[in-house]
Amino acid sequence: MSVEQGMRKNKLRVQRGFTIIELTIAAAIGLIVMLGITAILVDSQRGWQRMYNTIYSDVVTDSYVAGKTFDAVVRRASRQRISLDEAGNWAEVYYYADANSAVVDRYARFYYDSDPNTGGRLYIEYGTVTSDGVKGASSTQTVCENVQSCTFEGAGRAAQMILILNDGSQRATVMSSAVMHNQ
Amino acid sequence: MGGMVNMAVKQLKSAAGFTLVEVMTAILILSVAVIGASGYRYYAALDARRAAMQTTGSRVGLLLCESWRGLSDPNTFDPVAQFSSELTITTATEASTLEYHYKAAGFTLLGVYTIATNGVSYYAVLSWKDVSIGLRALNVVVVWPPQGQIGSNYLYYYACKSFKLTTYASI
Repeated sequence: MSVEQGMRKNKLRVQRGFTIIELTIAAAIGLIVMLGITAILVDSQRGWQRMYNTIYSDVVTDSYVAGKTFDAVVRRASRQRISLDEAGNWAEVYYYADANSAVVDRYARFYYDSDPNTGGRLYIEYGTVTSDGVKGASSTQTVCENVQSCTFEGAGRAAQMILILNDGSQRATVMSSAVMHNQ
Repeated sequence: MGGMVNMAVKQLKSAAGFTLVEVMTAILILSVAVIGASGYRYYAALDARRAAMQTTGSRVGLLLCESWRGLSDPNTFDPVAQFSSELTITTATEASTLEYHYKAAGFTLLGVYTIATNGVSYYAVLSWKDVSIGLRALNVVVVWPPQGQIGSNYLYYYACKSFKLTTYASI
């Protein structure tokens, strides 16, 4: 056999390609690997989304906002009086406009609106109040949405809010209590 | 002629596939990457849960502290009567162990309570001390086990996390 013949034989062996069995096995292994990687990626994404929702979903952030707002407003209120709805649907606290105010001349009213069109909202209404008790609303703000229920209670100089938020996929309960600090 | 032979030998070498060592190395590297990613995910989920437990624990402590302080007579504070309609709250069965570990030194115990929320049992140890005439210190310690349930082994209490608050009320 000449050198030229030997080289042609080598080339033939090198370029003979793959058999159908080799291709099938390779495809099956590739498929299993791809399926495994996809499953890991999907599971990672789900886990990440779940964790993100636990910390940053609307329900969770709204619950923090509601708790902080209630604490801040009640803590600056006067302990002279607090008005509470018998059914617990609203609470009204009174405070001084600023350090120069001689009497309590402002009010803040938390109330829960269970209108099914809005999905349940917690509002806070600010306004002025005269010494005769005449009130004038100046602004109303939405504290949070997706409110399932909200109850206000009083205990001595403390006011309590029990708020349940539910957007259908996540539920959060806020139990907040704050003492009215001012005279 | 010699050049053509070399070329054929090179082609043979390049199409030889992967050796066992190469494949094993690749699998090892992939395994390390996958195990590393799994570890990261496990600890991320665990830390998120711990953070949520700490947030809830601190809010429970604040709720008890502010409610207690708001009463005109702090001696009448009974968390079970006050919150039983909104919270799952009972007098703790492990009261003596929790008092031993978590009651502030020199304070008088008001009570030890179990508060169950979000699948976790929080334990609140409430105590007080008259620091001067007409002034009372109110101490609230909220304790929760890292795994959500407290064990029977007393050594387990050393692993618990806690949140402590002290406030003052005029009496």
